[in-house]
Amino acid sequence: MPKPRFTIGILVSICWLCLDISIQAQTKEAKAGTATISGRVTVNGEPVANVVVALQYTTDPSTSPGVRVRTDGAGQFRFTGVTAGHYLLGALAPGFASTSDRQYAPHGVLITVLEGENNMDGFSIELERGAAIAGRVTDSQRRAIPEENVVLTMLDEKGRPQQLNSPMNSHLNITDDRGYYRIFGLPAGRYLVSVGHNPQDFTPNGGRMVFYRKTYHPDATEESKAEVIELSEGGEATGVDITVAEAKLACLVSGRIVDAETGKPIPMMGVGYMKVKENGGNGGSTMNASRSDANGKFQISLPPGKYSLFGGGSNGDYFTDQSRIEVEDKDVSGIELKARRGATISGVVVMEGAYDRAVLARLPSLSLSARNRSDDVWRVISRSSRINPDGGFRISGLPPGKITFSLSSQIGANRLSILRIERDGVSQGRQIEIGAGEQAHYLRVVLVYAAASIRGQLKIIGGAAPSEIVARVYARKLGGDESANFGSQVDASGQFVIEWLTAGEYELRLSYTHRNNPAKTDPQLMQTFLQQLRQARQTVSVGASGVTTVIFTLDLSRKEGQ
Amino acid sequence: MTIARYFIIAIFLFAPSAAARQGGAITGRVVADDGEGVANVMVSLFAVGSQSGGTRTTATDENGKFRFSDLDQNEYTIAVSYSRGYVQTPPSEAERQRPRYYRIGDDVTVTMTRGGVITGRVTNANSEPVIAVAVTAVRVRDAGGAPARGVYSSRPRFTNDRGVYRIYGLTQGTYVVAANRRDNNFRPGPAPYDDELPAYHPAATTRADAAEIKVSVGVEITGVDIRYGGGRGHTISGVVSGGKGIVTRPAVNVHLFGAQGEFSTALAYIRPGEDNRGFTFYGLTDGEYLITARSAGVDQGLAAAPARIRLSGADVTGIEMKLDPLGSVSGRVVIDGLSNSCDPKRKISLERFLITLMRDDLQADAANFLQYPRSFSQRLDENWRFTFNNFEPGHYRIVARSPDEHLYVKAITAYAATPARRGAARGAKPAGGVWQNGFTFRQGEKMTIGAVTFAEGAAILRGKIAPENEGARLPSRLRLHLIPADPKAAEDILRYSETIVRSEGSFAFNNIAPGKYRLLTRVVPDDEPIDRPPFPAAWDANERANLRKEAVAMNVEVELKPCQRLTDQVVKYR
Repeated sequence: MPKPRFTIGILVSICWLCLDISIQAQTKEAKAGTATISGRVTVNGEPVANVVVALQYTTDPSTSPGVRVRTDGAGQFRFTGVTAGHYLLGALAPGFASTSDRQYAPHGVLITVLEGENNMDGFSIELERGAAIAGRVTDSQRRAIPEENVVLTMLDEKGRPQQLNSPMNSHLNITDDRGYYRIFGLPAGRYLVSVGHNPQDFTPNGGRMVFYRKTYHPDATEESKAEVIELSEGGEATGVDITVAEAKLACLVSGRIVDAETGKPIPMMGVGYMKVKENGGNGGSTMNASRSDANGKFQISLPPGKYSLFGGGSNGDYFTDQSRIEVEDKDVSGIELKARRGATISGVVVMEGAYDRAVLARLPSLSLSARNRSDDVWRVISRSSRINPDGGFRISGLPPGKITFSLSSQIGANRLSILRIERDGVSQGRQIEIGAGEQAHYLRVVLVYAAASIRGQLKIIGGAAPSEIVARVYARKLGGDESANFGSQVDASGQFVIEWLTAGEYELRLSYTHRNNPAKTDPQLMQTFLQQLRQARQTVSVGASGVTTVIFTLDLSRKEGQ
Repeated sequence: MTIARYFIIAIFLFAPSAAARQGGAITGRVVADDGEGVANVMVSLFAVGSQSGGTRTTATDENGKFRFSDLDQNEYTIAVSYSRGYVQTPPSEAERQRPRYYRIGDDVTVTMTRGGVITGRVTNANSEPVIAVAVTAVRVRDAGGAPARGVYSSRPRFTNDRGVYRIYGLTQGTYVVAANRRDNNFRPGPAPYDDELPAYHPAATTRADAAEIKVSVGVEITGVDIRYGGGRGHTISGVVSGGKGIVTRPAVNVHLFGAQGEFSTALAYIRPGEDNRGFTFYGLTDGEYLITARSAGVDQGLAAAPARIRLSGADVTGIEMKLDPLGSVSGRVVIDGLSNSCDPKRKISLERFLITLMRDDLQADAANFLQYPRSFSQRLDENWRFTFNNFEPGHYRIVARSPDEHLYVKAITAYAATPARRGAARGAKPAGGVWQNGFTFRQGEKMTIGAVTFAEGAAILRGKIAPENEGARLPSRLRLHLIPADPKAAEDILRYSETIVRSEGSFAFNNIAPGKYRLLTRVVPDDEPIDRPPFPAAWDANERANLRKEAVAMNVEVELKPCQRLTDQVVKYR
């Protein structure tokens, strides 16, 4: 039986030329919602009743349930009174798998509802019954290993692994107190099951002392020797046990933070680390693994590997030099991190051009962050300061180097963006540079409304877009010292919106990611599609406010080279 | 089936050498009841008095061993987190009265046992399994059968595709089990049940109708099934605004506490098209709730006055939480009477003083809401000053702990509270008088306590309670009070002490001001919870009068001279 596909059909035409709406005007009218979204949920082609379908704001930082409805006896669902915005539409049915959406949670499809939308019908959410894998994890002495994460890797048709990692389900994919696990709601396919970590890829946190080397079912430490688990739709594989080979111990790394000049200990400073990979590149990092105590001392635990330790990563007047360490099989002590007083910069934040008092009133709820990028270690030190009602700010604790500024994340409309930094009356672009021991005062940070947006569509002619590709649009502002990048996902109907832009010239390009469902598209077609996608490029001029429209057209009937 | 046993925490102490050097270690092992080490258990070490800079955490190795090295001379407490199905026996009362402190050179053994297990199946009205719903076990009675004060609910465990859940690692006690209850604020992501009501075992919608389950350590209880109704709950929504405070963060945490012990957090943020930070709580049963909102500011914390809400049959909207600045209090420590020193050669070290700020006006709420810690401890800075920041309006007391056995707290004097003005604290004039009943702290106040005065010449009183009739048994829980006999000291709270008598009858009072005292024994009432002792009786004026009256009737007097160590006092119990 052919596997069902996740399809979307939209039976409405959108008037692209009508989209000349300014963002400011939109904010107050957004409350009145007039759109309707409806469709059907099926399992193996059969409609299924009483399934919860959720419509969630993509810009919603909270985990509120959003708007929800249940499917009726005919499997139909309908949302009414939907306000304009970006949403994620999906079924919440933990026992089922969505065949197409296997990469990242949340499961669902992106929808953009525009002003004046009426009906968006015909959404089809196709599910299959989920399969399950269950087993037990023990060590070589048959002792249960509780609370260990079980990781699934899905194999594609060529047997290549792709990580099937739904971060939202990681709380379910864990062994219980007896070492048993059961992972359910899986799409049919071929899987590898493993626990543990590969030392070179792994950056720890949480202070665990005992780690297990990555082991696949039944007891293989190499992926090539792992046994493949075949799952049919709604099927079950039990007894998928894993015997872990060896346990690795973390070691204690201790030391203290002292002032580089006076030698006095520095208390209450955060200590972090960055993993140095085998090839010299940097792995993951943790800014605040621990804090120094009243005597400047700290202690963290790390598994074997190479690390770079540092202090003051996230806050304070001091930063430290880095200390490279290698952890092998015993504790490392006596590390001394030398702390130096960072530079202080201060000045005033002003608005460009004419502005009203309401803007000044909003300034204290923003904070200005300065980030310093240290060339030799790719480390970013960030400090922030609130903006006072008179526009003044003061940021201290910065190491020497190039400093870029940003505003704290603003939620809602009427966003501000940094236009330029002025130092002694001279524009420095969006970056300033300070040397060791230097201070920078009387800076002017000039802000402007980021009220413009780019809207558009990705049109496909001469064929259908491959359903397993999710496209993205990127806009890069031209002509600045520090290019800012803005992006947006292209939703299910081919639309995209990039918001909060300032005036200027932007170059737009496309990129993509794969969904994990089996490739249905003809390889030739896919190649043409991706090639055109990669080559697509447009440059647009964006005004201070308002909407600029861009259309990308990919013609799949064109052969390569034309 | 394993049999529950009582476990004793055994501590092996090595006397630290007199010249203990810097950089010592505390080592230990966590073992299970079968003697096997327990791996990967988190062990935390807290330097007494430091806020957060003195916390170290490590985990046990394969053999259950742990070690903290490179430590300074200080006092430490150790906490072991319940994990991987193991629980630690709660400390006995006397141990809780005087918390256990460790020093470098100590080797500690902590025993854990497998916690209790509850497992069962959650199904809906059609007998279908309810999949991936959170199930929690809420303790309603402690191990002794007394109603549990405060809320303890297990970490949520989720049902699998057959509707089966398993909760492990439970401490001894009586529990109710619920599916889809708002607890612990664990938010893995959107689930179909987020706006629906909870369901209690076996088929109840409220805790009152739920069946209670007795759990013993090491015992697994199966068949604890739940019939899930799945009705839609109601919502509580509102906005958070800056009252007198300026809110700098785009989103603010709002907490909801339920009378049935529920707890959840919503994020108040500015939604597109709106001006205010709105929040909504979903899936609520009818009943009483308390909402709090806090925001960490760049300079100062902000908090809103808690809002009480009663939900009955309909959504509640329009709650406004106004954020106002939190307060701070500072003071200094002074030492008196050094000429009468018990041990002139010793050095009094600054870092061993500990000042605690304790809030004591939340008794009424303590049963249902607000489980935050209500006491804060601080060490002194190099100018012998202490400062407490960011705490909420309420009634507080200062409790001072003496650094060694020769000092007692002589007085605590308070200046008048000043309204929140920068620099006002230093210029405040003393209002005079001895501070007796704590102080009421209003929104946004910056207050200066004048001084906490310690004096030399403290005495120690130790001894034993013996039953008057030979062979009679002492009550299981006895408290001994030390009450000043001098009428001039009748209202001086600092002169009153109380201690829990150990099971074999011994007691100890330390850091006592010299003078005449009476002793009074009182039986601890059965409903006083083991894990949360009440505030000292002497804090209440009426109770003080009762104590004095009863002490006169019991007529046991003792006189303590400066620096005296009286260690063989025998008190007869009738």
